[in-house]
Amino acid sequence: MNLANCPLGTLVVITGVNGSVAERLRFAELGLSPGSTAAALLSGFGKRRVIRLGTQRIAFAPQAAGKISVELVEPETVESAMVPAAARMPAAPVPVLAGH
Amino acid sequence: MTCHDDSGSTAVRAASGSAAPSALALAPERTVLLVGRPNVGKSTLFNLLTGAHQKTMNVPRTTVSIEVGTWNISDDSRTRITDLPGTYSLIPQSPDEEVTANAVADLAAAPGPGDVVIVVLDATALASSLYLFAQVKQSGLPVIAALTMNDLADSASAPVDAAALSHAIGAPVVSINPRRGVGASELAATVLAFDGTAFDGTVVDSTSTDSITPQRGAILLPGLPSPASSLPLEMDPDPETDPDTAAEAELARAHELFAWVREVLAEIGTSTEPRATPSDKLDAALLRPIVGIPVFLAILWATFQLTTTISGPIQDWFEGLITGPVTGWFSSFLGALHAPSWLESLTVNGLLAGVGTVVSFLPLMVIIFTMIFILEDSGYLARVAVMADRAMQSIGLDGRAVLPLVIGFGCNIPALSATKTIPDSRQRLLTGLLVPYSSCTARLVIYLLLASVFFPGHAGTVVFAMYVVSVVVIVGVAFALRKTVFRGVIREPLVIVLPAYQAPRFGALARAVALRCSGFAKRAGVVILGLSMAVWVLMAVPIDGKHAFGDTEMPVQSSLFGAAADGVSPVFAPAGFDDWHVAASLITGFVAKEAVVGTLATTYGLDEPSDPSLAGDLSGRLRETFTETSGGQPGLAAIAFMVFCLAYTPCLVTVAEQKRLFGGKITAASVSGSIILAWVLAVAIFQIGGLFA
Repeated sequence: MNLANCPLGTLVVITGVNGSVAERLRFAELGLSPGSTAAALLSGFGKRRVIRLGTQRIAFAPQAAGKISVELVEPETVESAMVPAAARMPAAPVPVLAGH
Repeated sequence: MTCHDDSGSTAVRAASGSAAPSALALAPERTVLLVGRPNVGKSTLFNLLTGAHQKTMNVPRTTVSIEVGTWNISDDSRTRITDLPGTYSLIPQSPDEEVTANAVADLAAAPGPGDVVIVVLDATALASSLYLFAQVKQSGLPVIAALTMNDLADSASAPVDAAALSHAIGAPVVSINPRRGVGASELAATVLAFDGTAFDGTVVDSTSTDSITPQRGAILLPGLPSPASSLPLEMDPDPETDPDTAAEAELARAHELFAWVREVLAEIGTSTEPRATPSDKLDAALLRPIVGIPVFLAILWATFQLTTTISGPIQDWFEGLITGPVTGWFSSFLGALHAPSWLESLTVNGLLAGVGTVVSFLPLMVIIFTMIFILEDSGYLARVAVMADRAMQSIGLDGRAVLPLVIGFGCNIPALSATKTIPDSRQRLLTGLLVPYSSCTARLVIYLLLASVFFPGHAGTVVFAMYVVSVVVIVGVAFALRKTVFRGVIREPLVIVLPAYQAPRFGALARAVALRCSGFAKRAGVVILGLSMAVWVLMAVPIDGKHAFGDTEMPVQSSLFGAAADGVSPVFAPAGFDDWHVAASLITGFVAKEAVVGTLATTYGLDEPSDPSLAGDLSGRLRETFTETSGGQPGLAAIAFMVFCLAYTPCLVTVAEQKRLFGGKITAASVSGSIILAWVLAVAIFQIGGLFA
């Protein structure tokens, strides 16, 4: 699982960062290093994702988000404004937003 | 690691020393560098500190521009201050970041007494700001932290305690709000009182052998080209350093520094608990296509309308003021002095025409700079980068390029100004080279005239087709540039820190707009005046021996301008419109596309039609001319002429603005390239079209 395909609204821990050294360095400079926790908040406009990392909000193209391997930490209740209600319905798979 | 012995940073210091010389009753005593991540309010702070005492300069041998100014830090002390390009790190991965890293490295190599770096920290995204702070601190330079956006952090229930932060990071922290004009005096007092030693080594050990020592030039990072590879920077490789090893070492150091950042955040008790901020709530709507796209299109539409429909009458009023009362007053004044007619003509048709052009464009620039400031300052522009990323990626552009390219269909001048919103200098330049191919409304008059004359009944379709051609040309030129002069520029997948939304403040807006308009008037105005005078001279010099210099009654064909048009016209023979009337209109079209129709009418001895779709006598004369020059294919020649008008230089104000933003050499290349492309397209259309006619 990676940041590009992890469920929206769930807390994940970064387990690895792939890519060239330059890419990994830039990710590290933003705080995206193994052990950090993050949550994907939004997805849209061609699967671009907005993630929460501490107090920061970072937007990624799918090619970049796909380089960050993650694991689920625990289900996290995210306030309703952050994820469409449909995405939090327990009986349905977590959808991403329309317009991909 | 590589290094080179000359880059922007030396120029940064040299230029900063000469900034705003008129303001310097006292010689600057210290150098201050403003460093920070993109979108942290650095430029707003710079405007607040320097006021009008600033100027923009291009760093030599790069396309990067910086702001340098004078900060009147106290009654008896002046400070050179430089607003460096925003960066995430002192390990640069772009030319802009390299300029910042080199400036810090140069200052660290030879710091003067009182020199200091102010690192601007974003309270809403403190972690990555602190990482950059740590790098600067490890350079050994005295560092002061300026904490911005704490009001937004507070509204998200995560305020930063400046005193606790100061203790944790071992440096003075000044909480500021430059958008409200708050904190400038406190920052000045801190800089004056700070001797650079009181906080040294508290957290980040600047004497450690593991600390970062900024190096001039960039580390070669596998997977990315050298930041300078696409630019004419001389980079001498250092054979003793393996790029892989150096980069891996920096990566390890980045992890160490971020571990320190996490310790700092834990020490000051900044909340990192998940909670939805007001910005999250807005993003939940604005970054969803169903809401985001209509809102984005509405903003684009509003910007387009403001720069065309709304600004048009205002521009006309200012132009009327200059050509009416002001011109009348000058004519009367010169008449009273019994000045020669050529002097009156020079004053009215050369000098005042140029001044009128600059003045008439100022309202437009106020509007576009206001729109740009609001979009930038509110944080919305970063979201535009996300929304338009996919579409712009297809032609290798930054998502933010969509704004100038769309505005360009209204007017190319504000569109060029809007390229300033693109942070990467190479992407900014690439977009700036594409903007002139956006078909502005001034070209519409030409399309309407030619389409109604040569394609009656299908004029609407022809005009629409011209806009399609404009988009095709933009895409084609983008691909061509990416495959040639910009082939080294890799369009990295989008990764962008989104700033929190905030309401623009009037004071900061007024300061920024006034400064940008002043810069336009000063720098572009010189070029506009110069070209305006050059056109006047061409019109004033007689070649038939029957008229005096500056004779206002002289027919166009008797002037040097007429001769030039006649001399140039054979160039257009392969495109089917080799006629001096047409060539003359293209020459004045270089000054302004609005002048093309008027020049056609004037050279035929006719009045300019008030409605270009009802050309009257001009219609017949154009049909005769194009039929004759095209060998019986006037429609094809008219299309070739319209495409030429679409592709070649939009107007001299565009040239002036390009020169202001990108420098003379790039502007010359852009102008000559567009003329060549226009000619090639026109010839191709006429010649290939002729095969099927």
